[in-house]
Amino acid sequence: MDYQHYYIPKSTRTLSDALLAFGVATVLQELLQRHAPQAEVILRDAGSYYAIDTGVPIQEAWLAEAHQHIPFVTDERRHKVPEGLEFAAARSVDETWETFRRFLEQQEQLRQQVEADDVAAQALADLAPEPDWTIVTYLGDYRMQAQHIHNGLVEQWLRTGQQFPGLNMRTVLELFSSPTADWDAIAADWKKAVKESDFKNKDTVTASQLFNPHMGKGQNQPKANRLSMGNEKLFWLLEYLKAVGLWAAAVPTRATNADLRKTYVLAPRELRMRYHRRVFSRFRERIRNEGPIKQDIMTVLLYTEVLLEQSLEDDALDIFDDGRVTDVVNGMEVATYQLLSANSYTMMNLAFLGLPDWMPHIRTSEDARTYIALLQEHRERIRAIDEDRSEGYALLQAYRDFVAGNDLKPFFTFLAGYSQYLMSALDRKNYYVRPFSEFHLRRLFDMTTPELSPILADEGFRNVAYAIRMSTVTPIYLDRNQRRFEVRYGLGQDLLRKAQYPDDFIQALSEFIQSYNDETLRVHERTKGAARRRLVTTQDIESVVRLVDTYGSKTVCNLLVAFGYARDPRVKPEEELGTATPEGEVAQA
Amino acid sequence: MWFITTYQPVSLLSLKVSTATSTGGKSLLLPTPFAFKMALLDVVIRDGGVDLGEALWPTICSGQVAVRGPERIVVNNTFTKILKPNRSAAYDPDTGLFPVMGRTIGFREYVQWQGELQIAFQADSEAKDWARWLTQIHYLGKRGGFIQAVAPPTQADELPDDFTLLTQDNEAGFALDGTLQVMDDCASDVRFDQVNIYTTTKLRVGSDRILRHVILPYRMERSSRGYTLYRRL
Repeated sequence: MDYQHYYIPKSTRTLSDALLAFGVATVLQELLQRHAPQAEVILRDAGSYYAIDTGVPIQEAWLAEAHQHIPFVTDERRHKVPEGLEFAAARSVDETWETFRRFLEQQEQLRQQVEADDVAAQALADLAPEPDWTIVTYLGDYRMQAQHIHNGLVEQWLRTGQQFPGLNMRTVLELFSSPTADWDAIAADWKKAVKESDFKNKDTVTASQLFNPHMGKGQNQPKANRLSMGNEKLFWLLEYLKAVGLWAAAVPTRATNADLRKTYVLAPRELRMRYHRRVFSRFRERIRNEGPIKQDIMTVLLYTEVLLEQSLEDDALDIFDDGRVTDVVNGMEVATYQLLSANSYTMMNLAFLGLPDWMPHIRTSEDARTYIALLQEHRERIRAIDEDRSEGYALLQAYRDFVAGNDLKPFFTFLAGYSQYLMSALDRKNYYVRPFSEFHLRRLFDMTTPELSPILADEGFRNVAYAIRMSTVTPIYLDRNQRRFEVRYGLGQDLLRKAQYPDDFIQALSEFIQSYNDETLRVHERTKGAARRRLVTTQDIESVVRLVDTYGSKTVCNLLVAFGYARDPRVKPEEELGTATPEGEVAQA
Repeated sequence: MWFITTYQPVSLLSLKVSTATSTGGKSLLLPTPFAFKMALLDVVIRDGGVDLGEALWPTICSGQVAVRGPERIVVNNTFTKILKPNRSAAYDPDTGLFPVMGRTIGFREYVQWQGELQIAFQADSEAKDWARWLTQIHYLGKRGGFIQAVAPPTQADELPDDFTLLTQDNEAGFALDGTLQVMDDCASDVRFDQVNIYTTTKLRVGSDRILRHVILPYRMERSSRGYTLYRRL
């Protein structure tokens, strides 16, 4: 048997596979930490399997030592540490909630202080709950119906470890030593080994939907001649490893506006386990509950950001191997649970969300910083969108498809909708809704679709985008009585409506440019040069027409709207521009 | 002799993973040998009667099945209204009944094939009507997962290379690149009365309804909350 390489099949295509893989990797990592601390456990996605390389072969002599990987989850009412295992680690659900409440109170006090001092900030940091506190409360939520199963698994691991030294670890190694290992036979061997003990009928446990979201209590009959409700049973060691995986790589969240829970589990591509712990701990500290769609978005954006930040801080950009973020982590497996009855959550969706895989080569710290800034901007913009409003909900859905699927089409849909959302919000003086910056938008398109870069670099395109900007997001920041240029509401939507056919689009664009130039000259004359903006020239229009011929009207229009409603920090509202005369010639549109 | 039939999807399909319960309707991407053999048995019985079905069952049961899936597969995540047994059926004063089933919703995946599905079936029997029966298969998996054969089956002595054999254990090795599916099949000694749903003879998972790890030549290309797109390698 090869004692260095292990294989975990992705047989369910749910988060269950990832939990199992992280569980095995964690158990092996902790074993190595005691016996070969220099060895590095690497968890790799090998397509249909997860593969683990422990760096050094596992020695038979190491297996006998019993070790507790995960704590009992206790509470005041029903769940206590079992008799005879008082030495075992435990986490109390009640105490965890109490710690969290104290932390929130301290945070609120700190917020009310005019000037927060270092002592208060330190006091807050000291009160911060453990990064994995949400796992405790997740398991402790009686509506997930998993606390009893979890504690039973921990107890069985400890007791069988005491009574049969090395049996459990040896069985784990056998289960995953080959991609074609016969799990039924290995489970039968375990049962045979304990047949003279109290564990002879404890080889299986109820498959909790928390570890196996596709196996909640329901019907599953091998023959369609009867109907009965029941739970599925699985080999207990597999379930124990999934429980270990839960502590290692899961983030449970609760929707802020619905009776809904979401559990995210990391789907690794090539991950060093030791490094994973550092990144994931930081990620868990920063993740917050959101609405259901925003939660999906924030989770993948934030994880990517934290991964980059940590690698930057540790000067460990080599983890990307000059490649992408998805060369380290593929994304997140997600299970959504809805509270359909008072006593239990029901699994309502299983999905996979990819990470924002925008930068093709992460090589330098400058690359990482640029990427982080881009992700931060996106997080801020998304955070400002109100999920409870129907237009915000639709926008977030489109953005989620973009960010999780790395699909640019829904991003254009999002940007078109966001232009309207932004204008509406700014008109109501909700300035926390802000435009994307032109710089970051350009970087994003340059990285994801370099074939569109010639459009973005085109002078004519940029001037027309400028004209759209100066007719929409720039003047709207001014008070109504200070505005000298008209705000063209719905301009982006009008252009997008006409973008289906090139002729219609060019005509609509020409009408806008003519009216824009007319207004520019009129206002310039009326204000005696006090208000000015650049004119769109005939060359600009010719240039855009050429782009439409080459790339199609929809592509050019989508990009024009995206950049037209973006923020260019170099451009200021018109009254601050001084008294210079308009530049360029009047377009013959 | 292999009979290779080409089917087009008529509607979205759903075929629950054998380990999934009714509350977690995770679907397979392609039909399993068990699902295909049950569909074929159904057609034979409808066409020739129960006696013919029983007579041909050993051939169907031990037949080899291979597939060549469509170019792309999209799995849609949704939920649907379902009925489930009431745990405490209380008297309903409006109807005067004790409702044994309650209404709820459950997660379901529906699979869309972009392109045709080819199923190769190897039967060791000389029965002449395999071609006709194979074209009469109209649904697989969950009821409503309609398919349509687009032409009579072609015959081949050898299984073409681009087919994935679903009915043999992969003893030669395993391909890492692909998508793993746990597919069920009938053990070679399963009797007709075990698959006959009008008898109470047991059909046991593991011994009668065996599970195989099959690696399909598909790679996940894109995914979001509502869908997953797979492309054939």
